[in-house]
Amino acid sequence: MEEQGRGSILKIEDFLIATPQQAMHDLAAIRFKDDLLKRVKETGINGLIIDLSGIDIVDSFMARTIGEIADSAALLGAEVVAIGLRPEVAITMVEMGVSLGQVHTYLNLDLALEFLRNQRSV
Amino acid sequence: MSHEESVDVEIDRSIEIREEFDIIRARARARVLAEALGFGIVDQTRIVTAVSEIARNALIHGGGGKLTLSTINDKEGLEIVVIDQGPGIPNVDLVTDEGYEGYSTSGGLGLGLRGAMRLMDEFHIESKPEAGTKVTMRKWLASGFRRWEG
Repeated sequence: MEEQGRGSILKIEDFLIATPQQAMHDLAAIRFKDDLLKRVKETGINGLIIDLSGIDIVDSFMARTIGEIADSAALLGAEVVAIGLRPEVAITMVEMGVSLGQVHTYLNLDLALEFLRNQRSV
Repeated sequence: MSHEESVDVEIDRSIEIREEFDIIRARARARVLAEALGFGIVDQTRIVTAVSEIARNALIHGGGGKLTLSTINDKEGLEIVVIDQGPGIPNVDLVTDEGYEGYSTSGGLGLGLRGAMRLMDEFHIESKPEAGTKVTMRKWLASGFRRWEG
């Protein structure tokens, strides 16, 4: 049960695309964060895209974890972009008063890649 | 209990919260019941998020507990009760006060509680030092005005 997979991490150009799995419990979320930051360091990429389209809720813990990923990745020199946030999840987060910290959010992968490519060329 | 039979879902509505995976289990069952009752996707998300917050509080601060899902008056709404026998919250009024932000040890007891309060239509908390905590929260199917339902 513990090792049924915490999501996938793919590399494209010099960016990573991380897709956390839907029903991730807290320890799995922490391990996902650790794996991801290790990969950011190893690959030396300058952009990290987190695909939240499979995530059906973002509670205070999940929001904090995503914010921590972004803050830590920023310290490693990578820009973090979240994509695919579902409307119902966005509404619920706003009502609860939680945010994703300094994460940029884009509607889809194309827009996220365009943003990161522009960042790189600056 | 017979009035609950009209909602046709075969799930165990009582969930022991002893480990992290039980929170996922509680979320999944709350989702199934909310959907069967006819809640739209936004209300389902509000309910499941509130369940996640309160179940986590029971596990982390209450040392585990029991979560019970039930329908209200046939199909009028969904009620969630979470009970733990933990140390209790000594200043429960303070923690649930919107203006208070200081009670945040393991990811924020206050943040989770206040978040759940905002997402549900009714929220009651009883807590006594050394006697545990009981949270009762409800979502009504026809709650005042209809918010956006995708």
